[in-house]
Amino acid sequence: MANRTVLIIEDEDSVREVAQMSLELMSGWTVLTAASGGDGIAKALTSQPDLILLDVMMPEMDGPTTYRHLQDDARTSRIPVILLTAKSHASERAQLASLGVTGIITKPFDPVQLADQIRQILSWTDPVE
Amino acid sequence: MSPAKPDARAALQAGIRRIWENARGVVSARLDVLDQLAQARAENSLTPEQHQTAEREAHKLAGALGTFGFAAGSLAARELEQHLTASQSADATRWSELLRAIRSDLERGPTEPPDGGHISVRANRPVLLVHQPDASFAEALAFDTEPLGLEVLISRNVHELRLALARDPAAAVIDPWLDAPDTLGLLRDFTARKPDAAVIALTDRDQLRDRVAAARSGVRAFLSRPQAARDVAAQLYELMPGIAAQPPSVLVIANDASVRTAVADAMGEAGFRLTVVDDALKLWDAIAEARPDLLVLDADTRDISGVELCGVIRSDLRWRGVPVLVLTASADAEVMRDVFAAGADDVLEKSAIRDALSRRIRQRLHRSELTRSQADTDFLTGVATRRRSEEAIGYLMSLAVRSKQPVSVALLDIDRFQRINHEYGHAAGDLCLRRFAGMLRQTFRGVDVIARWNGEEFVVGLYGMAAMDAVNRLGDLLDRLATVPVATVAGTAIHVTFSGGVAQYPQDGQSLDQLIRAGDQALDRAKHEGRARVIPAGRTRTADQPDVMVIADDESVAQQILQPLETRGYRVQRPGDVKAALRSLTEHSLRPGLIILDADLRGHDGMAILRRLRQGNLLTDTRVIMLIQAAAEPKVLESLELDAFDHISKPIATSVLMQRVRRALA
Repeated sequence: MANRTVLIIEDEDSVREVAQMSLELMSGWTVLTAASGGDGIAKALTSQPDLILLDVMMPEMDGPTTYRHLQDDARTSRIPVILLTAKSHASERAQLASLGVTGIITKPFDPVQLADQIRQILSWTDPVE
Repeated sequence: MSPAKPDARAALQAGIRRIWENARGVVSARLDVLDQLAQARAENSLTPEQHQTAEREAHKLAGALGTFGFAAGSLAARELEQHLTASQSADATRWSELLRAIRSDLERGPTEPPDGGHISVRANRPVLLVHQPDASFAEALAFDTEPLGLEVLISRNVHELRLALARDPAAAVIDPWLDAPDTLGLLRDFTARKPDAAVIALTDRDQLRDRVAAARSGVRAFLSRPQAARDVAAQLYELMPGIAAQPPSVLVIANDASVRTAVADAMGEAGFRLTVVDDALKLWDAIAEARPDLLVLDADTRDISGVELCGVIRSDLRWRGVPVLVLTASADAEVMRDVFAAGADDVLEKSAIRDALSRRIRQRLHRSELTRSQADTDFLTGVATRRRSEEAIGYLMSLAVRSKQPVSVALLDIDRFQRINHEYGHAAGDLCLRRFAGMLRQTFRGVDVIARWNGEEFVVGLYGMAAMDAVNRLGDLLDRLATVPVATVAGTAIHVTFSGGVAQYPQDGQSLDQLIRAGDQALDRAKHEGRARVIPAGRTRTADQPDVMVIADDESVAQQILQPLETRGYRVQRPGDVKAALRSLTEHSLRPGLIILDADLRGHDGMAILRRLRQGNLLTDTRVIMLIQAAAEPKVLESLELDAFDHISKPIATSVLMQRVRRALA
């Protein structure tokens, strides 16, 4: 079960790169990336990942809007989405949670633990490579 | 914890340093931009657009810096972001200070390991402190306790723990042996200062002496890892009402004025809500009003003595669990025997009221709290009992008043449950109830209240959720039950459905009783309209006008629409064919709120029908959603030009269908 695909949608280059490297090294999953909501939706359609990690604050199309588009399309509506957000107040997080996403991970995330956090949220039990 | 190989960790750390070398230029440019904007602010020339840019840049810094090990810089950036979000006229001096703090942290270089998910500060909300080695657990707990409106602080070492405890958290989930040996001492000091804090120990240890040490440090619940975050959240929720809610309620019944005065004097400033009643005949009214946590009865009264009253209370299902303290003139052996035989928990001589009453009440309340968690759990299904849920939903309602959030109360009844008992036996029926309760627990959050109301009837209290959202969530569960059997007995898969009614506070009722009544009426309608559906209270469309008309001759397409809509309580009509549909719309003036029209009908062009509806002026009262094959974009445009309200592409996803239908009927 280690051969999963995760799509990271995050406009900030450094954060995206750290997340990608962290998942590749600590989990062995295949990691795809997109730097904008639009690009992310296109990649989600073609690659059908097992999970989308989605940044909340992005220019042009933000995380919640991207999420809604993904939900509106039958081809992507079943893919679990975890939001990455620097919003830390419970009220803001509650608002995000009410979108119906599978989980929320707060930034800054710990690169060593990111894969574990995802495993826990999704109850993925694949062994670490 | 992660069992990753050390070399993967080392490679990751090296890789992060490399990425940081490339990213520091970007970060430095960001800081320059923020410097310039701070300058503009100081000169009062900051435009709203620039203010927004500053907010965004600060947000990005807060998210990125922590990942690279600049914890202090990340916190400063977050404070700046919050400062900018809170006010359009940010303080330029504070702004510059925070920028300097970020720069100096960058100069010091990153600390390893990077600080993950430290959540920052805001006043006036109760704080939940999480001191656990596992960041993912802390995150999950923050997610599961969201409806409690707590501010979550995460600490990872003794230093952070000390800072966090200084903020007087109302609740804490602590590993007392994380970063030992200071932790237990800090905890002891804290609980001595704030004895009512809900402190839970969650740790790998579970030796008796560890439990004793934790208890001595003021820990109120001891849990061994692993524990699911939602279970810890539920435990917190059990402990929290005592913190956020009012002080314990004590009801005193005594017709001797001197006794009443003595009690009132003794307890005046002891921190109880005290209700004093002079007549035993007012017992039930007083109990309903005061909902006491403890009763004080006078043994030496006219008409009905305290001992008799005690017996009466012990025979009442709802109140038999309330502790009772009896006051007597003299506690001789005979009196004591009578009092305890009647089911009282404690006896006090009247001469000792002044010195001992409030202390004895406290002891008794404390002990009853320990046994209460058992009485609060339904023995068969493990969810809350009706009594417990009434309290808990009441608490959600009181939270809702303060936070202006909706609370929904759903009444659910398993359809034709007696048939399961008949066909498969009562053991199978019990199994189905247990499994159904388990599915409810999976469907809702740790802090939502799930209770077995009676028999096969369940109640769910949902904080921060409007009735329509609750209907949808329950509709999802019905969809799931359609494919997943609730239990398998002797090789036979048992499928169940349920009917439900949902009432929303405060729109459908001001009290729990009113909400339950409104929900019950909606539940009756759901049963009446054919079961396996959930209906919101207060839906007002008249019976002869459907909410939705479906015009689709492909059976599988029609079912993909009918089933989820009916499940969620919409009244749906599907005429036999296109002609019948047009006839009922034109000749019989049927006016559904929405028509869902398949563009691809056999022998008919859906677009032509849409055109006829428009020509007949039927689209003024009724909206149309067209079903269009995916990738047929020209048809989408054509339908919109013909005043269709929206479209859904085939194959149909239930989530899309529901979202579009709700928008069209809004």
